[in-house]
Amino acid sequence: MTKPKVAFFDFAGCEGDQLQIANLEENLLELLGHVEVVSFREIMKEHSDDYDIAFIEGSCTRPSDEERLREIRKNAKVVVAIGSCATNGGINSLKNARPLDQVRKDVYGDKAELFETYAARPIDAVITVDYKVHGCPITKDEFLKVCKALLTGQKFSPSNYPVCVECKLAENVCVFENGQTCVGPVTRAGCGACCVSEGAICWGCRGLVDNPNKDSHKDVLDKYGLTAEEIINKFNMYFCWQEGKK
Amino acid sequence: MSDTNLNIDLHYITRVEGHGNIVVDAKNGKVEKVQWQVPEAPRFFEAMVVGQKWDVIHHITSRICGICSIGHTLASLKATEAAMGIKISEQTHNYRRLAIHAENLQSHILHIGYLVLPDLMGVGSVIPLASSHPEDVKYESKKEISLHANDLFTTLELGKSIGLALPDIYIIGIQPAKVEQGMILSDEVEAALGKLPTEIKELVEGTFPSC
Repeated sequence: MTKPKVAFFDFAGCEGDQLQIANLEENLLELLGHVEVVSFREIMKEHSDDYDIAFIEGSCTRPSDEERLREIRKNAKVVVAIGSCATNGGINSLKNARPLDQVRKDVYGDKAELFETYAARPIDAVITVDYKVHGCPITKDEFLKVCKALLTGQKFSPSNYPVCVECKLAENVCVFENGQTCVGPVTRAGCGACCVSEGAICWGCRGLVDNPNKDSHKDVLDKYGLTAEEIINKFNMYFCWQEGKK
Repeated sequence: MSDTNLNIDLHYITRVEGHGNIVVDAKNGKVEKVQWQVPEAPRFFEAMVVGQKWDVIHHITSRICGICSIGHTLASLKATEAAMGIKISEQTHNYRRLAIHAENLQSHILHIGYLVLPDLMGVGSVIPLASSHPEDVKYESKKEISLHANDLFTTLELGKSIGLALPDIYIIGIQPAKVEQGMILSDEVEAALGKLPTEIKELVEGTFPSC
């Protein structure tokens, strides 16, 4: 069996997901036994446009990026979006909530027009995406699971229940009990509630679960005497694109 | 040299974080154009944090860079604390030093092992080295140090490095229940440090000034 040719690409993002992959260490070496990497700018010099599988990190934030994305789609049999910026717009989409002309002026002043931008969006807003690896950053385990599914021609369905489920399984004390706020009740699971387990809160990086139970989330907020407005800035963190702030 | 003509148009410098192009044009031995282009998509972090509550800013700025997220987190916390007049404790200061050392350690290991080593071996990336020089790539001490750096890093990241400042903030009464988190953290950092090879431990401790 010939090894599938794999290429990595990045758009607007921090390259943290590719770093997670580079940091797979011996698992990376094992993975390299099953694929042929033909392009991975962050770790290799060579580049080829002949590939079967394209991994794309980052959001599309400029009309001029769309052409490059369509070119990748044309070349690849399978497109995999990796990381929040690529799967749900990520932190980049925070800027969508404000007028973009103002956003450009805030940062670049009288040079604003030199810096092209439009509402940050996930990759599947521009081209068809076959697989998604959620998370900011992606987890190494889930990335490897997706690779296994890809290589064996199976489907991969990301978890479709809220982070609270995994948080309970991890036996964490609910962060609301500690007087903090969290968007775990409406965020897609799959991370094992790692942030809460590590003493932080769920920031919602994996995006909204399909059909989030917002009524139930509101009940939780009511129980702790909070309003949606009070946690609205946490909702804005990763949900801007999904919540329609385009 | 006088008849040298050059048209270098190198798109995407490789084995670095971020996007850069190099353009060099020379005609008849005379350089006409030298450009370092940064075609990176601007992300507008300065505008993203406008109007945000103080307790999310460090999380937003940590996403500026996947390689130095702790550096960006700590810089943001420092700014927030300066704005709110919060003085951090020696313990918090030391934890932050530890977090930044862990980040640097991991970054340097990746740099030497994956980004520099291929040049020394005359190949384009670490990938062919995996089969031609498995021992160098898997070099035990590198692997061991790297795994320990990851251990330490994991212990400190994911909001812990962020949470490090919080005990102080909690003390001023916002979320006093979390003060004890600092104690749990202390044990875990000790455990992670305990697993480091002695030389690395000394290196980390040696660069630890009291504040």
